[in-house]
Amino acid sequence: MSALAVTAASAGARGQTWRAMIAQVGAETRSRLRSPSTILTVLALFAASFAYVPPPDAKRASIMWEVAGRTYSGTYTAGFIGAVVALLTSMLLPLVGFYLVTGSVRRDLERRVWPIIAATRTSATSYLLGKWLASFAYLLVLAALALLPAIYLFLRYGTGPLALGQLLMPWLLLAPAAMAFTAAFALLFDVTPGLRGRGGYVLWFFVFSFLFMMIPAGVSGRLDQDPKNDRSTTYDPAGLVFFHDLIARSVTEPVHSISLGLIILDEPVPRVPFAPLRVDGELLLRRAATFGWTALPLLAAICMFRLTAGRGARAPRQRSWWRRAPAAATADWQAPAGASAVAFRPHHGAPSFARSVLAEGMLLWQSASWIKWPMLAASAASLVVPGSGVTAPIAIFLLLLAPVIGEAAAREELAGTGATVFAQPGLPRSRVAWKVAAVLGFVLLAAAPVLLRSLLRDGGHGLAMLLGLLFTATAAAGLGWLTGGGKLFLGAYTALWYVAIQRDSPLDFAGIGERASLLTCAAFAAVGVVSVILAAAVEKAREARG
Amino acid sequence: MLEITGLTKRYGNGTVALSDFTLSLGEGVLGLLGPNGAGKTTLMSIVATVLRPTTGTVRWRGVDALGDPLAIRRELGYLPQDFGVYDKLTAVELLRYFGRLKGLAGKELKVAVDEMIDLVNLRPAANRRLGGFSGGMRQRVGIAQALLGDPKLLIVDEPTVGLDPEERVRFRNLLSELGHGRTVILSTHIVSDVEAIAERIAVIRQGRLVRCATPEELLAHAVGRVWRAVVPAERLGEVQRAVAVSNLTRRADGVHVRFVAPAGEPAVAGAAAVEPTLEDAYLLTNVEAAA
Repeated sequence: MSALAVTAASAGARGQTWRAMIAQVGAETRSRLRSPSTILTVLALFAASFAYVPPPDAKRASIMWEVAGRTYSGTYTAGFIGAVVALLTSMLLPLVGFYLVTGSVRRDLERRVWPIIAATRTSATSYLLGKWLASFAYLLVLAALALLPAIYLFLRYGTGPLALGQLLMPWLLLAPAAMAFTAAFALLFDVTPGLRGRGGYVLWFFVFSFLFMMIPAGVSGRLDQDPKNDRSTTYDPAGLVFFHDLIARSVTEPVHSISLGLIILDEPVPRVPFAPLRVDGELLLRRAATFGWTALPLLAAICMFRLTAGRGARAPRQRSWWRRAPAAATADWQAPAGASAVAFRPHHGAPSFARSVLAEGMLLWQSASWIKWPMLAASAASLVVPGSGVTAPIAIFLLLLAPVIGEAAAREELAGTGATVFAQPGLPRSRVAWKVAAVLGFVLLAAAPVLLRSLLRDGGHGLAMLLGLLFTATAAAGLGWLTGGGKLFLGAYTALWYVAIQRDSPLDFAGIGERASLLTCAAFAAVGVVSVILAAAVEKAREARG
Repeated sequence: MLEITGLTKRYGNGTVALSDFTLSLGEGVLGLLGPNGAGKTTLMSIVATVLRPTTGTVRWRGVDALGDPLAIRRELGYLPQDFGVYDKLTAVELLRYFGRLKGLAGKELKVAVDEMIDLVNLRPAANRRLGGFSGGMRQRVGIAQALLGDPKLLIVDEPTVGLDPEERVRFRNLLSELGHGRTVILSTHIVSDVEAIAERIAVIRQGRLVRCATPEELLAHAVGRVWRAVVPAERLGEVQRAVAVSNLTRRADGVHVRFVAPAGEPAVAGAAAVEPTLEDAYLLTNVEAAA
């Protein structure tokens, strides 16, 4: 073959790789945009934008800073609204978007799509890069939709000219890096055994807090609230430091603290002019460098995938050496002698609702990952830890319970076992009822020590825990059934858990803390029950449709 | 035992998968043959009570299976075409799970699962996780779960897919024996599987029952309608357009073409009638139905 022919061939291969990647991006983005989760996320993003940018004279505000003992916020100029919406997008979407995009490699591996792809000219690296690009493109499309409320909010409440550059530029500077980073970590979690799946979904909440908030604030010296220690950083995926610097340029005195949450106030916050955004070479370089950090998780994902993707081809490992089947039992099967009917040993199955619930409960235990052991240990520890220290094992138990039960209601849909399972005689007409009974039974059994300890604290805590467990079980079953997966429940529950374990939290759904509000717990239990009723209604509607 | 009457299934997108399908079954093996998309899987899903028809009834031992699905499920063994498994469970754990759903418990459950493990020749892998199973081994787990609980109605959709030839023959023989005292519905594309074990064959096309007959009746109908001719390679296209070809073999003297001609003597020079096979008879039934 001539040199020219070799060059042409390799160029052709490169072209083929790019075409394959672009095809992958197109197909995945299209299919994700058609998912109901996308509509829900866009609606949530719109709602959050409107909540985050309230009317300027409202007794609530979202972005406030404290200077010389007084709290201020920005006047609604195009620059301020643009910066707020950009910050909201780059903080909210990474948290939620992770759950939307993670799991596609796991699906390919479980459904054996990967071996088909591996047999084509697509390399493992380009396959993963395609996955990352697809997730990045999808998240960026979602993030871009957040600009619509930004424009609307400016037209509604804005002052000054509609400076499109000021309105859009913060988004352009923040969103790409945040989405690229999220897509890369979603991929890393997806290819790492132990992180792909339910455990990873819970862990992401904490990893997100560290990656997007704690680390940038720490490395830039913004944690200690002493301006003398402030330094620029190239690591700022959510744009917190970027936003802090914008605020610092808007005031003449040092900023003591910045509040990013939506806060209810006694009177409207005084609003001061917000410094217009100045884009210079250094800022662009810093944002480009932040984008560059994406390479780290991406590289880690590629290395991890090489290590683990081929595992399926190896000889399957024995589950436990002590349970190895005797070699002598390998005799070939022979059809029973004689031309008459096959004679199975007689048995008298008595299918019932109770037995099917027991079967499902046992399956919950068997199919749970290693997380079930620390969950059980935390439950047992709650009986022996003295005093107020008991909140720690109770909180840990409630957190670890979520990944164990999170996908139970959608198990058949996820594994493709629906036809075989739903044709069994022990199942009641309502599969939702079956799932709720099994999950609730499992939760009550696993939480028996926690429940007992809560009762020993006082009757109120006992009842609160019972309501909390009812909420957890019903929400897992209801949301799992409604969404056909566990991501929504796991993401929402983990975020709620984080708020609930704070001191005197108003959202303590299970009486974890010292002061348990039965009304709050009952309200959460009611929410769980409503999700089950909704699931049952959807099941009935589907059944009616056939 | 099984009465299917006027079954019609129209999906949400307007596709009519089954149209006024009526069939009555007693003991024995019924082979269900039909091209892709003919409605075989839809029919079996409805009989297995995992899908509801738009109209029509399914009665098992006189009981309306759609009104009382448990009546059929208590005696049902069902192996769908595409079925999943829980990768983290072992074969024994999965079978015990299905056994519990069938109402088995205790020692009886253990014995029944052991029996199935041996029956499908999975003893060496019984305690391995299903995630590491090959396609054929998974298929055998599927067969085992379908046979668990001694079902009186067995519905198997493409059961021999992925099995090696030896296992395929074993399972074929097993199904044949299971037909005694039970009702077995076997759907497959492999005509030789049906030929070996089915006492009746139902040919389904575009959601309608085209023909239901014994293999002998189908063969008898095809006598005088199956032909063979040797044609030059350059005329092959012309012949393929004129008749329904069931087999082609290239030889030195030309292409040996085997084909069916519903109307009798075909317009292919040098054609000679040959003994029909069940594959020819199936093709002929389809050609006639299409006409």
